[in-house]
Amino acid sequence: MSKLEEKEKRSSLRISLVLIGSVAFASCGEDGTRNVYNSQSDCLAENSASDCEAVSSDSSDYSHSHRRYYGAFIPYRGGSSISSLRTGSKSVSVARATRGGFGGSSGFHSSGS
Amino acid sequence: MRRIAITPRPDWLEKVESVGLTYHTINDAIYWDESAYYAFTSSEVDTLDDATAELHGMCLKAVEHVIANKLFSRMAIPEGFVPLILRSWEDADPSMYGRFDFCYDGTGDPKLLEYNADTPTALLEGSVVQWFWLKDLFPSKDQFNSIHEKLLDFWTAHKYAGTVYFACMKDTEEDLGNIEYMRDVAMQAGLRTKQVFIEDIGWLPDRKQFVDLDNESIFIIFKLYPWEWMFTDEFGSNLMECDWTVIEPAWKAILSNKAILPILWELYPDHPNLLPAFFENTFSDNYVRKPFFSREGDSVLMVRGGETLERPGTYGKEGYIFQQYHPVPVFDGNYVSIGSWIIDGKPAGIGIREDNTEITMNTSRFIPHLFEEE
Repeated sequence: MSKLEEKEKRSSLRISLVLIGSVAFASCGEDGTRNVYNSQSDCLAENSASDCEAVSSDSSDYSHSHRRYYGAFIPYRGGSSISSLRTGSKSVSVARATRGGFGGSSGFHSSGS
Repeated sequence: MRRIAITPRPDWLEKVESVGLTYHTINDAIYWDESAYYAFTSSEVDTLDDATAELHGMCLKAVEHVIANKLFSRMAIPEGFVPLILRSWEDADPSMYGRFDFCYDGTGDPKLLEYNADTPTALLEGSVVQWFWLKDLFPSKDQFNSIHEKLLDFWTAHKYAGTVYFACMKDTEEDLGNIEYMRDVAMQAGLRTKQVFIEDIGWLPDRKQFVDLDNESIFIIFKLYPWEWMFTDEFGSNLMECDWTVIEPAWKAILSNKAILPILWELYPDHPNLLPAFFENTFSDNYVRKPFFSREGDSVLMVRGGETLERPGTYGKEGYIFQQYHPVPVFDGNYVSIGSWIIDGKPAGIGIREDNTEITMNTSRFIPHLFEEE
């Protein structure tokens, strides 16, 4: 390896950043859930088009016989789930995630080393 | 290797903050310290480069040894997670990075103090902040630092399909700074990214998937959160059911454990870059007792010349290793250690830390460096 190649190997030639310095660090959202619908039309009956999203085929909510759809994100408030299921709702299930299962072992230590 | 005092840039605070180093001061004490720098010769850099590459190869052999001889219980790795570790090793899940911490003063061989193989930090300052410092003050000089380029190469080479999540705990400014830098690099490599806090990750039992706050499945995650904590967390058992790609991979749990130090010594006795280390205390004096799992120097006990220096902490219930004491170099009254980065299997640069004691902590000051051709 030549001296020049050696030098290039040792040191970055240029560093640019696209995220840091331009965007403040921010939390990425809030806790919540989504309803699941048997068809796109059922979903659209209760949600806007932009909120209706086809369930991916690797999900247990996916049915091979017909495609299911997630509705709008419904935030939890005050740490508990607020049901958005109105009387007569066409949704068939609510995807519920349990949270807080990671982080308990930290003992308030930094994760870095 | 020389320590050279220098006047800090008058606008150093604005400059380091402009590239994301908001934690330049920790607990009212300076962390990013440019009142001095270290100057290396190119042959000293060669020495560190060679030691890093060699230790990386030795560590991979040590992983094979641990797996072949089923040494997991000796390392306090829970039996239930061994299949996860084996699967990640057999699948050759790629490791992106790690940091070897050396005792080195420019003479003799660098001695490995420990290997931060899973959640190494001081990345942003090592990669970006000291590089801009060099360009500001010594543009014609060089620095052992290709960390940024090698990270970019890694993300570019591993074209992960789908969103890559970047996770750390809440209320840890330094950790957030590290993952946001890593996320920045991944974005530059063309990847779609999203930040999530460890505590916000959810579990959907129907999907058998970890999800973000929008209940979107997390298929690829870079986590600044140690495997040994994930194993013991409430969600730990779900790790066996979930199919996701984690960076660093589960097999790094073998190397981030300080029990790897006596195993390395057993495999490579008298290796010039290793210090004698054992599971049992065979020393009467001049040794360091380190918990298998310990961070920021907590719970480390040092005995030298009949005197004892101990850092308080809550670590150690899983066990300890005992490593021969090696004098930490002192420059102008400062104890110095060198963190040497390995990225995608290649030595990538160094970061220097100084402290008033011989045990490096998270508050140990970061000092920039340069090197000169001889």
